Amino acid sequence: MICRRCLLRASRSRTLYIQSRPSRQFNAAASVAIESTTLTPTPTTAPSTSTSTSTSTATKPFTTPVSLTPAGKGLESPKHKKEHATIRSTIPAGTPLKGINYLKNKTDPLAMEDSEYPSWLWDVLRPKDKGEEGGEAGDLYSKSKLKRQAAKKAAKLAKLNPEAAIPKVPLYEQSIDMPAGDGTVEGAIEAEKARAQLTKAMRDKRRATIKEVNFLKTMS
Amino acid sequence: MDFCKEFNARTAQFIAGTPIPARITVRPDRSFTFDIRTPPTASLLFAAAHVKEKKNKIRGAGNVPGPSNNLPSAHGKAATPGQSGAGNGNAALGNVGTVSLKHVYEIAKIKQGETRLSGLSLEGICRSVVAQAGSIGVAVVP
Repeated sequence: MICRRCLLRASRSRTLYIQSRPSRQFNAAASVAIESTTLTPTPTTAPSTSTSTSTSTATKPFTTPVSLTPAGKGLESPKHKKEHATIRSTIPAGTPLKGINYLKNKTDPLAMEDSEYPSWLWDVLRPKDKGEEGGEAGDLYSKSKLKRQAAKKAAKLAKLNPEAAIPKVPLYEQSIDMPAGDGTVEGAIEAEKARAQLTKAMRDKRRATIKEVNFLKTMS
Repeated sequence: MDFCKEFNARTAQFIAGTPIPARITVRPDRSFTFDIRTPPTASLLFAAAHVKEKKNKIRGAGNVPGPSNNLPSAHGKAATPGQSGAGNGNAALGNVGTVSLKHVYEIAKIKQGETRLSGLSLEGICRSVVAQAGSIGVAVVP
């Protein structure tokens, strides 16, 4: 015999499931759309316990966007090896740091243990990572000597390997159709990437033009 | 006259001889307000490095090795033959003293006590202090 309370609960949970399903699908679609445009890993909200126990198929739309996100892009970068253990301060703990104090009613501060100072302090003397080098490729007449040297080297390499010297047609001069996406998320992401590449190429071109015009203005 | 009195009153708690910058705002009706700042980083660094007076003044080094090569034994470009070891000033010196990172940390904490610098991170201020030490010729060791 099935008790009435169980029956009631079962019927209520089904109605809940039916009601919640379209809204959740809409949410999932929205999150996919966001990710296809910005490509940022948006944390999709975990489905509530009542819905997750109902069916496993209902949770499928949630798993797809998570798998699409670039898996821990920042986490894969190699971490700096800390050399704090090897660094020993020249000042032992407890030594008064003379000359620091300028208040009459106080005394010079005492040096603490090395471990009591924040860990970044021992990295201060090391020069900061400059990040990536200037992405813009220079030419033989660049202002920067490094860029001129790089251009010289590239010219030398091109002489040795003439096939590589065939000029690339810039993206904005190619008469190809942009990928419009085939309805899938992957297609949309591909299309967005292609658009972004074109935008970047056109922006670089505009910047180069502006630089050239400005330089010519100074000549006159 | 008013300013001197008020300045003396406000700086009474400082050890005599400490340079103290003050920012004065004078209004059109000749009234004024001013706020006291912390001692200049350079003077704090010189004091921490125990730099002696040269020609009646505490002076930095004149031949500093540059920000990335600020070591106790380093110096800048070699002096020209005529100038080598010239005079009794600091012009030919690579640096005039040494401070440790613990000094730098304490100086940075003093500077962060200033209102206009209180929003900056202590690490950033420490880096600024290290950079300034490089340009005035005070070597920084760990």
